[in-house]
Amino acid sequence: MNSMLAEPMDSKIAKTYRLLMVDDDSTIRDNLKEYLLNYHQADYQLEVEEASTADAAIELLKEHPYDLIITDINLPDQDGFYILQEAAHIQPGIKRALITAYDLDSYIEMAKTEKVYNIIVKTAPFNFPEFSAVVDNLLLPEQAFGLEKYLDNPSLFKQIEIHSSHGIMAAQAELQQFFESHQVPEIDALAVVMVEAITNAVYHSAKLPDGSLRYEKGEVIEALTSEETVSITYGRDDEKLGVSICDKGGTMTADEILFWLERNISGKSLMDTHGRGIYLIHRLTDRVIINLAKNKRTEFILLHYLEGTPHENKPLYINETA
Amino acid sequence: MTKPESSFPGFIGNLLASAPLGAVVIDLNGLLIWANALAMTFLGDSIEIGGIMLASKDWPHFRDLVLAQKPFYYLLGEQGFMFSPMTSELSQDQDWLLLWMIPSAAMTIDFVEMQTDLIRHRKLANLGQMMTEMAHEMNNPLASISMDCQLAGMSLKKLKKQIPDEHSASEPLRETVDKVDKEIHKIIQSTAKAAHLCQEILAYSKPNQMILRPYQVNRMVKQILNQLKQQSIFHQMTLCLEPLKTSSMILCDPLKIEQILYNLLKNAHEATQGKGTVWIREQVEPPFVLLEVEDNGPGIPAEILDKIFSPFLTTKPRTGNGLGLSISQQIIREHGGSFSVYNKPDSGACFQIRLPQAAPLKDSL
Repeated sequence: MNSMLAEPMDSKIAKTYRLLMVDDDSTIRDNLKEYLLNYHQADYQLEVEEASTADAAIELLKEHPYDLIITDINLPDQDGFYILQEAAHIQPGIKRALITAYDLDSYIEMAKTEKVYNIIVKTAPFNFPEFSAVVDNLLLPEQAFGLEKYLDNPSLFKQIEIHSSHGIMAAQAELQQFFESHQVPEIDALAVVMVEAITNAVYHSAKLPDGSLRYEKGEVIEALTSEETVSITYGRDDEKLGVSICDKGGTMTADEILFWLERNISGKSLMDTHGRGIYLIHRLTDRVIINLAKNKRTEFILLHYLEGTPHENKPLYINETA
Repeated sequence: MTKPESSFPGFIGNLLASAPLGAVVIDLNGLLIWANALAMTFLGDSIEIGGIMLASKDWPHFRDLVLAQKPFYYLLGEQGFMFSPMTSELSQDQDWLLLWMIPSAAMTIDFVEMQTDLIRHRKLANLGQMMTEMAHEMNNPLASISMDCQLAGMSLKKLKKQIPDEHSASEPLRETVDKVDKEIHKIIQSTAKAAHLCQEILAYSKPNQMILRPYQVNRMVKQILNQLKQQSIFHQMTLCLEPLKTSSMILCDPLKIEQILYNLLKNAHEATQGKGTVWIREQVEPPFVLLEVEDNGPGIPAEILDKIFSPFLTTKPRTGNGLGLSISQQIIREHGGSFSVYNKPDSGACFQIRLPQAAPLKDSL
């Protein structure tokens, strides 16, 4: 029920995706719709329908097929999580996202329970290009990979490959150099983030045939096979620096990420001896986009704005491809 | 308004008149409507029936205590009393209240202040809650305004492209479009500022949401100096840095400490009318690092010096980004540090921030 028009015979006709936007604030709905219809650039067409209450949204879901539903959390009759729960029942496979003016921390538990992996934040100013990217990634998650997607006319682009655990500190030092050359004040925080993300990637990259991890964190890895090397790309555009850290293990799941995030945000992790990495990465980086292709790749995209991005109210962006 | 004595059935009036306890009857504006003889001796010569019982600045507080309907202590001059509001039948449907008044030898000034503080804190807590809710509610409309402006800006870009290249009207048209674009961007900036302020209020009311990590002091100071250089208001100030040869590492949430230091510098700027000298000093007092921000202004007035960290104390309309010294103190306490101030013997104020020392980053990794 969630499929769109049948495959076009004429390949020049672009595919059309149908989006349902739910928010009781008509200005927000109008603005997002206007942006998507007039400014969002993509290879496909978009049809956007709206609802201002949960009941209206659910009625629409029962009547018409949608590829993607984006809903506010606070609606007059029910909350957004409820709508997404219903949406998953009525149209299994429909892509789902929340949009909110409130902060992620308050909703992380619901996000974990309801398996909502994308939460967009209403900030002032609103980040329209980021909104474009998240709509794109929701509709086509396999295209979410790669740092190029998140930099606008990149003026720098470099790659590092890690073949052994010795490469971790070398990679970290190179990235540190990169940040220092841009006089990034939060350099110590980013150092922590990079070490966590790179170490995670390296130790998740090597798998045993049964899918479990071959090495324990901290163990010396003399050589990763070519199917196990970790790729790091880094670069910048006019407004931000970006780093992509990609492992070929693909063992990370969205549920696992939300588990660790929730555990740390709620404070349950106080006495834990490990498991803070993902939380630290999320807290200390301006923007994190996590792309997961099961058993194939796990990619952490880390973006740092050179000036002016608010550090509070962070979104959640996890893209999972089958 | 009926006089209370006329409402008392005869024997009650006699009881009140001859009771071994003081009895006063007041209306809700603080007028002393009636008092028995004993109460009159307690109240003293300056107070008369028909006059006001308390100075007008004291009345609102007294009224709140009475309306809470519980016995309370109150200081009249040097003497302490326990007042006990008498509720129910006698005063129902009347505009007056009957209070028992008993001298209390056991009462101390501290107790009265504690009680006063309790009521004030409850009020502040309610106010704080309202502010938090309001800050939450503000985010949506602020996002809307910003979005509207941003989209308007995008439309203007489109419009500008549509202006024909060579036409006598084109240049003035482009100029007008640019003008409008500029104004729109100013709205977007102001909205961002407002949103940021809401975030600050929300951050204040959240339980501990800080991430502490090692950070080098001189890096922080450098960052602040960069900010200052960009602001022309600081150009006439003299800045003296007294860092350590090897700058120390503190365990902190750098953004928050930077903001606190920045606010102190702004205060120093105001205190010295933009032309004074500010010293920023780094010292080690194991296990802390001591950061001092000192100015050569007039110093802090003696009467507010001990209240300077209390919330909602304003000596002037609030300007700038921060929410004040109270929040700063809270944040520093959450860091495990301390925040204090003293007036220098030669004029000026010196703020002292003590924060826990951290091991250097490389060691801990």
